[in-house]
Amino acid sequence: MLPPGWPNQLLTAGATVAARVGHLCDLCVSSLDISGASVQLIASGPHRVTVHATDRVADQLDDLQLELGEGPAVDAVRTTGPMLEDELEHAGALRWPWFSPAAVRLGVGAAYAWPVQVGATPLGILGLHRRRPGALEAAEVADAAVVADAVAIVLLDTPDIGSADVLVWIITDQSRFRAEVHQATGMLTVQLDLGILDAFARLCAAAYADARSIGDLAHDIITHRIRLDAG
Amino acid sequence: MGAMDTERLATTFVDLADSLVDDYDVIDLLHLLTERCVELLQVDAAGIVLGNQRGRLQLAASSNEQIRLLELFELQTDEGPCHDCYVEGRPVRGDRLSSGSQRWPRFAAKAGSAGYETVHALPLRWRNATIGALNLFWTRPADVLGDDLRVAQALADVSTIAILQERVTRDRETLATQLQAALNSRIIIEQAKGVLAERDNLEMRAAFERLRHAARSSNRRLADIASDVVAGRDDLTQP
Repeated sequence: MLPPGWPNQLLTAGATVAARVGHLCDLCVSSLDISGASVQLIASGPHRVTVHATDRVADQLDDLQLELGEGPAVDAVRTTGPMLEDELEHAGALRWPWFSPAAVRLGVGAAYAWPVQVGATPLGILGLHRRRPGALEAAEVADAAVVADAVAIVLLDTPDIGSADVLVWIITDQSRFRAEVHQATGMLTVQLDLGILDAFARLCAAAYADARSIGDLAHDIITHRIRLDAG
Repeated sequence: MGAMDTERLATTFVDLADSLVDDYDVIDLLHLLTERCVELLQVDAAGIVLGNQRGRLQLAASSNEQIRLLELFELQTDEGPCHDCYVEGRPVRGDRLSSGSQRWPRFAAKAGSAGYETVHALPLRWRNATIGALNLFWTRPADVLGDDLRVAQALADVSTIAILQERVTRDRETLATQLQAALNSRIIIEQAKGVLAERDNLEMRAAFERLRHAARSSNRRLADIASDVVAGRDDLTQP
């Protein structure tokens, strides 16, 4: 289970994206019954860059998937859903005939991956692995998805939300999942001539500056009560 | 309908439909299917083989576990009516197996010595792909024609549905993925509503109606239209 108040730990985790992602990977290892974690950034085309890996095996699993073009992370990007392979040696070998035996040779029994996305825009992949095969508990699957959401906010890394205070505040604000937030984000892309990610970051930063929830500000934007300034 | 028992046929399809609605074990269901083939089509043995991810045929279920029958399925990885049916995606039959066969010499020899005279293979079809084959064996000269052939193919089709449906329902991961995909679609649609509302000065509901109209008139998914709108690639200026 994730410890209470876990997002606040990001305040002292370091000021770089890599340090923050590293902290969230470590959090997975200490809170869930897994052996290692990594986060890959989705660059253009098929390219991936590993931002952080908690151990050598996690790093090697990422490399293997890049080389072979198959594995849980590859499928998580393709399907935009979590990939949970509890048993790599047999069941996994049917799914990923190249990746699975190679992972088993590294001593890995189970591998999991979650898409890391802001709204519906993919930014990266959170990969977890465990030496022992077996299913994660439902609560662990849910926790991993929550961490993947936090990683997404960290990866946004726009000037608007560079400070740890803003980051933690956004991660903690559950109103960011409301439909009105997505609508307001769409409106801001037109008003401010921004891409969808920058528009979302601007919305979050403005809400933080006004000390109100993202959902509330979004509501005021779509009802034309508030208009954000450009720049 | 020939010698086929119509009531038995109806019961079979009702049972199969019931199973497909409930949580079911696909292999168990395929076994039931092969047994019903034996009863309904008056064949002496039936089996279902499936292509694995490397395109090799593997036995999924058979009406009896007689070793010599199982060997016949094993053998068809390389040659035989099932192999040809799977590769060509159409029904394939073999007659007078005890007299040998030029097309499948090893298969015919094995089948003949196991006492089978006639074999018929029907494809398990899914859209444009063949995922496996239903194999019917007779110990006498025989054929499946007319209604019997249609019933046989329907039983093969039910097998296909059972296999593909089961993969979807069993897997919590697949369900989570489908759920996430649906959620993503919804997010993009909300974003597109915002874009249209601001750009064309619309209420959110009118923006949604415009998206839906565009999707229907172009026969595309709402999420695809929405994604074009968010990317500024749409031509939805006027309703």
